[in-house]
Amino acid sequence: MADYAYLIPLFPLAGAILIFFFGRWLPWKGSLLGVAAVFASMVMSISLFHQYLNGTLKVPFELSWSWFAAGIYPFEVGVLLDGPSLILLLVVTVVSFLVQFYSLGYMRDSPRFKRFFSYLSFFTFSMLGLVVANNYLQFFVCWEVVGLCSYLLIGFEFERDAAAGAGNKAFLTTKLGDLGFYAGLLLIFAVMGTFNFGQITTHLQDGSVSPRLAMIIGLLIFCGTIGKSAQFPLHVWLPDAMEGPTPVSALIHAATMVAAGVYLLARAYPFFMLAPEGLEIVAWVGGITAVFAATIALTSDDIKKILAYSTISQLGYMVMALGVSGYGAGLFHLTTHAAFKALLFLAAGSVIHAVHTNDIWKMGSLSKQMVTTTITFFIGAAALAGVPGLAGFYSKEMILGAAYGTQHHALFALGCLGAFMTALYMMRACSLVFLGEPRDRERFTHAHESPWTMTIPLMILAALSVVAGKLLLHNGLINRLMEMPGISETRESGIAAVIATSSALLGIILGYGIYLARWIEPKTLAAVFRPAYVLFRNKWFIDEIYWALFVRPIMRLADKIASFDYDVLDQIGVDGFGAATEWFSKLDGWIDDTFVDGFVDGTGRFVSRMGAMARTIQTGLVQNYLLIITAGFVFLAIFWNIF
Amino acid sequence: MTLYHILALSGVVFSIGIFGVLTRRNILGILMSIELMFNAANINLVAFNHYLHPGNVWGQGFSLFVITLAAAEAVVGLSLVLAIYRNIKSVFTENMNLLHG
Amino acid sequence: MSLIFYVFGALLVLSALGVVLLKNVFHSAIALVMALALVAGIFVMLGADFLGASQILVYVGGIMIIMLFVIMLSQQPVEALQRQVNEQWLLAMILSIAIGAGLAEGFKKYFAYHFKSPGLMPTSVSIGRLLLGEMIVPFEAVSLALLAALVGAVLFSQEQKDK
Repeated sequence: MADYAYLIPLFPLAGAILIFFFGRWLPWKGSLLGVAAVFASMVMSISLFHQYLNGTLKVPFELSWSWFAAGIYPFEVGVLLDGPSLILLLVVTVVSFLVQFYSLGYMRDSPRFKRFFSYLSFFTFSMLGLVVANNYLQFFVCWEVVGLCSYLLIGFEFERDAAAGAGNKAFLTTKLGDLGFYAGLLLIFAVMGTFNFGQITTHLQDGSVSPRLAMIIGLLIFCGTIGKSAQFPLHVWLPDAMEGPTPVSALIHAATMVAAGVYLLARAYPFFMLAPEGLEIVAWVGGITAVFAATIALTSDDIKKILAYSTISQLGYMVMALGVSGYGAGLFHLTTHAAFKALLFLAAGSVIHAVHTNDIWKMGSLSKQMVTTTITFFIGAAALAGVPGLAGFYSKEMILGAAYGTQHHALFALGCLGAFMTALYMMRACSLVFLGEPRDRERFTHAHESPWTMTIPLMILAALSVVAGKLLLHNGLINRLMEMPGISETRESGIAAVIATSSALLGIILGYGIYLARWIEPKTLAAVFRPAYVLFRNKWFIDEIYWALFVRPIMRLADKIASFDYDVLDQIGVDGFGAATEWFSKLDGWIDDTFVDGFVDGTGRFVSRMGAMARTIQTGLVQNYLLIITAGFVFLAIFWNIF
Repeated sequence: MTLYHILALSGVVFSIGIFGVLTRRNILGILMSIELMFNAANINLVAFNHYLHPGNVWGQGFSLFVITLAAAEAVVGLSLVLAIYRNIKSVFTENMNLLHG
Repeated sequence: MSLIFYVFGALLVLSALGVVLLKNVFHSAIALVMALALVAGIFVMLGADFLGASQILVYVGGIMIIMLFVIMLSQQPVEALQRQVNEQWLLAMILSIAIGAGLAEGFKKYFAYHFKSPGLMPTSVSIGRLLLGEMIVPFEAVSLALLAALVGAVLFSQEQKDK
């Protein structure tokens, strides 16, 4: 079975191509084909994982085919099955499948229904290709294709300027991070001459690479993570990406694409193991992002934006985990986060579908109208907040435990602060959307539960959010999966767990108090903490700063160049051309008059002159003619007698 | 006197006749020069007949024809001269150049 | 015999020159008459008596008379002392001398033949026999030619009838 592992990415690719070209004639415009393809991949991934569990599959397992060769350097495509890739295969295929299933109902009214599924399958293909990649080149190619799909899907409703602009922003911002990644790749190849993960690890352990160089390479690769996983300062694209349809947000920006950055970091871990100072930087970036994003989520009015900032924050946690050597913890959190964040997004989609607005201040008391959605959303929110027993609790504990255990106390404090805020803003969202009094009567009465195609995935994901954590911890599975030579097993730390859990509970209680029980009015709080409130609400003015510093000058430069093109080049082109043509035609006319006409007239004149000369012979006098005849006769007689 | 002398004589007359044809301004003068030429030819014919073929009279017979036709031609030519004279009132050849270019 | 011939010859040449050189066309006509008569004499000297007689009759008596008529009909009052030779006389002289010299050269081989006196037999019979015997066809043809000449002469000399 493992020998056919390369089929896992190829099923969705086939689906994407077939749907794109032939979808018109397929039943349900090919969407069923897409779902089926991903289902096949999912089944294969599950069976591979099963084989790992019962020992049939030995990891690491690698397949490799030669792709092309440049001179003496061969480049390959291949499949690498080990702990991280197996787990991620599961995550990607399961979430993809559920999202595609969900989209059958959600995207029913879309005019480009067929194309949506084609894009989704194409995305799944590239994501899976990235996950199973055994070398950096294949990884990078799939990384870029993933970025492309993200652009296509975010800007799916491109008639809206906001969506088109968001697609651009996502692509360009992640591209900025990719520059660093690319530089890192170049260095890798220059120093080690190969892209293969296994060979690189061997090289690093040989000691042929200096620690300073390893740190540089590692940090350059980390740039890619900053871009793709929306860390500060390249986080700005993720909130805007909410312009895309909700299934897109669920699949790409909660569970998979953004996780690719973390996965990259995991793959690049050997570099950091030679250079622990780099890990410090990584951890701090993650920690700052976690807290920073949570503050903005506190004051956001759009339900999808809340979830977006929450995603950024949780990604920060994952990055921080990897930064404090909690290799297993980070990837564990990635898995659980995929489950409950996807759930939250899909549920939010269900809500939006019902009330036709994103603004939480226009919702309220929806628990009375949409029961299933409410329950599943609450489960997801609890998992996110870290309520004990649910999946998120275990993974978050592991992260904070790792931070505490490696003496990163400042980061531990940040993490707890983040946990507190996470619980707070999720409580806020739950209260304002589902509980309390309906704020908009009309929307409230029109709201109704979503069809089964949308609720079934919600229920499955909710179940996963509950059990995933416990399952992965069973028999230390997660630690076995994430075995990494040189990293010690992450253990839970008692005191860390207590502090972390209490911060979460504090957040929940405070949320209840402010938004439900009305101990303090939200407006009063806003007035009291006015500077903080303004800062949070305006996203710390990051977008504005970027606009002023980078975007506007470039656009002005572009305008100047365009006007240069119009005024100068077109002038030269157009007027110059006209003047040149005029001059040419004058020259042509002169040539025609002088030479051609001259030739014609001259010929005529010449002929008439010749004629005049010839005319003189014909005198009309017969005696002249006779004279000539006689002269000719004498001449002939003489010459005939001579010869 | 040999045959040569007669032939030389007729040759001289003939060339004088040619000179007259080419030179005379009066058209009748031209006609008369033509008669001269005819006569020179006749002398030749008769002389050859006498010296080379004494037995027969072929040369003379031929000469007779020449005279006859010369007469006919002279008549026609003179009537033409009359017609011309009636039209341009002149007999000088330099006035007869209507066909000049 | 030679003497007669030389005298006739000299006179013939002189009168020929007169035909072409005399200013008055009437005078040149008279010179032509003299030349024709001399030619008739040469004919007789060569034993062509009939031919000589018909020469006098036809040429002198017929053609020259007509020519004189026409000369007199076309008289012009002021033409007496204008030159009668046109401007191409030099070239014409050269050419005619060339032709004459050429003829003289060409006939050189006939030096061998000497004069024999002609018999005293009149030639009329022979000529008659010839004309109506072997030369019958040209004889008839010439009569046609004469007819044509007659008609032509009458036609050309008619007065123009103005309509």
